[in-house]
Amino acid sequence: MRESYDRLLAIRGSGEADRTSCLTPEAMQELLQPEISEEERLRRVDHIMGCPYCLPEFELLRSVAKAKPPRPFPWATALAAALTLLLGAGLVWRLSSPRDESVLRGDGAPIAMETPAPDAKVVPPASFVWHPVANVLQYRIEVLTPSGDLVWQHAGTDTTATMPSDTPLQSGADYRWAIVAEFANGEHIRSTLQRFKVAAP
Amino acid sequence: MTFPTDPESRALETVLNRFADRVRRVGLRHGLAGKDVDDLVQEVRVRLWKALQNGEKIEAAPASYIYRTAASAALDLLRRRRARRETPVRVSRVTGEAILGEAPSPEALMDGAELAERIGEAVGSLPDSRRSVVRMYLAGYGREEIADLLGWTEAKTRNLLYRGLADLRERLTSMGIGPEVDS
Repeated sequence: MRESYDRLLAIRGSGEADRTSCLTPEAMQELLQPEISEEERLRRVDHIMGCPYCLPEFELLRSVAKAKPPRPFPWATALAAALTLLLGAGLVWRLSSPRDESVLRGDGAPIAMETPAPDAKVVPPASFVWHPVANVLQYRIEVLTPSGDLVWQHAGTDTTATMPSDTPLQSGADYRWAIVAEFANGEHIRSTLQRFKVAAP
Repeated sequence: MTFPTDPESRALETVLNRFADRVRRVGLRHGLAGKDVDDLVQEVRVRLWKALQNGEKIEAAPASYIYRTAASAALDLLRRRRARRETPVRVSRVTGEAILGEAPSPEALMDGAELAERIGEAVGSLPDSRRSVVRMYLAGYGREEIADLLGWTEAKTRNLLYRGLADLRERLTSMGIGPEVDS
């Protein structure tokens, strides 16, 4: 029956979106607080659970609210300290052992970025190189200004990209670049942000 | 292979990876699209970067600050998408494929579409308190999650859910749709 309900939502969401009766994002977020009356709560839940557009939006808000870690109990702090000591000892042992690239790939950085190296000085036009990711549909490269604004992005299937020479970059300023690998099923993975400096041309 | 070496980027990525993992774990069961988490993380990344200028501050920021930032960023993200009239995407819990935001094939629409519509009609005819709880159940929420969101006790939730599902079966039977074992 749940499968049929999924299908029902898919059918309702396949036409042109009419959102005139939809809840505002704020009204959805209020549901995550205890202050709302039961009657109002039921009314809002009823709409969201039957609306193909509100449901994924609500799920994003709910996931953020539910992801917040609970406050640790005092005994948990002591336990955490003991575990930290154990992990520290393990880390010392691990760092003193030989390791290879395949192990590093799983270490919070699913996309290997090649050039520019971290903090490298780059003479415009800047070129970027990263390692391929299996089964990728396309890559998106993003370059951010020192204040976090997007200054350039580009999508393609190559693992290299060069910024157009007329992209406004300030000499001597720091920038960050990141790669997003996009897959055919709509999933993405994102690299870490890496810093580079712009040298005078 | 290279990693960011400047402390700001490292601290920021550590905080964001921890945050994104938790959001994904919670949202995965209910079809939250990976792109939504990515877009949100990027929004939070920019906000934290602007607000907390060095890595020491980012690492020392309490979890409550990060999650307040994320909650506000999520609201802004949804507002912007609505302003751009972007259609939200939900990932099917059954097939793992994106089921909204793109039209299903004509064959897929034909197959079972009538049953889906009839179930929608039957759910719509349930009394208010039972209808919401049944919708949540059909949308994939477990009893604990339903109780948590509606502010009900576990016993009240169980009672209304079972009564609601019994009502639904009765209505479907009267529409000529046979009983089905819930998965």
